[in-house]
Amino acid sequence: MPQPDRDQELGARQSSVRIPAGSFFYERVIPALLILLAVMTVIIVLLAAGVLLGIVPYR
Amino acid sequence: MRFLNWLPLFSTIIAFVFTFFVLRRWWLRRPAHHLLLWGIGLTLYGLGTFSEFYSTLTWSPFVFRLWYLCGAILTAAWLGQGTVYLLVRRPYVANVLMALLLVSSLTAVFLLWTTPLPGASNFTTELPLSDQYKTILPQGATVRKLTPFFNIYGVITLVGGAIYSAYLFWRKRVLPNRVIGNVLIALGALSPAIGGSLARLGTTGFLYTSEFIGVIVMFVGFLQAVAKKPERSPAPVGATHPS
Repeated sequence: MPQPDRDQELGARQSSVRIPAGSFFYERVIPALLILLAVMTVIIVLLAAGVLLGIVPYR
Repeated sequence: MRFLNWLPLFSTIIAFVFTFFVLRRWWLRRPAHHLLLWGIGLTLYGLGTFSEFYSTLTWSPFVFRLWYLCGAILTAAWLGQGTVYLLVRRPYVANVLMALLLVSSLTAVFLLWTTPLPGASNFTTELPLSDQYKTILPQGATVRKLTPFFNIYGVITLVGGAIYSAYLFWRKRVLPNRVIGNVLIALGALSPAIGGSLARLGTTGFLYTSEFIGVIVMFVGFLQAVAKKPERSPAPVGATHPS
């Protein structure tokens, strides 16, 4: 029966291109990770800028 | 030889394998400037870590300068420039930034190779370069003052670009592999950035480990991001994916 096979294949392909709805990982973990990464990036940039301006001691 | 001294060699091997994957992809999709620049950036990464390994065997002023140039100055900025080519919609903006980076990089090469290394006599193969560079390279050397500019540019463009791309895909609810891939690229790029920042502040022991972790995580992120190429994949506008 080719039709169900095609449907299954399409479903599998769709699930690989769409973020699964209601997923704890994508609803909670990923946003938290993105915020954490952004905060760390800002800290590193501020640290480098601090070294550049002589505010942060360069040992 | 201590295990820590082997880490840069492992990082070098992974960096060059990663470079091969990226440049092969660039060759198939020319002119894809972003892939070419990522390939150059990863080559610099590999040269930097190889210099670290070489310096556990013997002293070479050329290798020391190569290490400082690749490891401390250029790598993040050139990798980030690849992301600029991918994300910036106006080509002339990316081209102007590229020209500035090229001129700055050549200036850094000139300054580094004309700066004497008065502390070279204190070098020992027993300690990592990250523990010794401050005594080898003069404290007030102009080239040392240049490094924060390159690093700020590199972190903002490379890490910031990957975070932004992951966010765009996440917001559009598409291509979960590219959400995860970009998160891993951002994490991997942050790792040596944190190691380098700690080294600058006097905590040098984490640098080699951070480079090793960083290149592995970025490589996994890249493979994850390019793993699938679905036909029905509406990519968010401006989102980066190592296509």
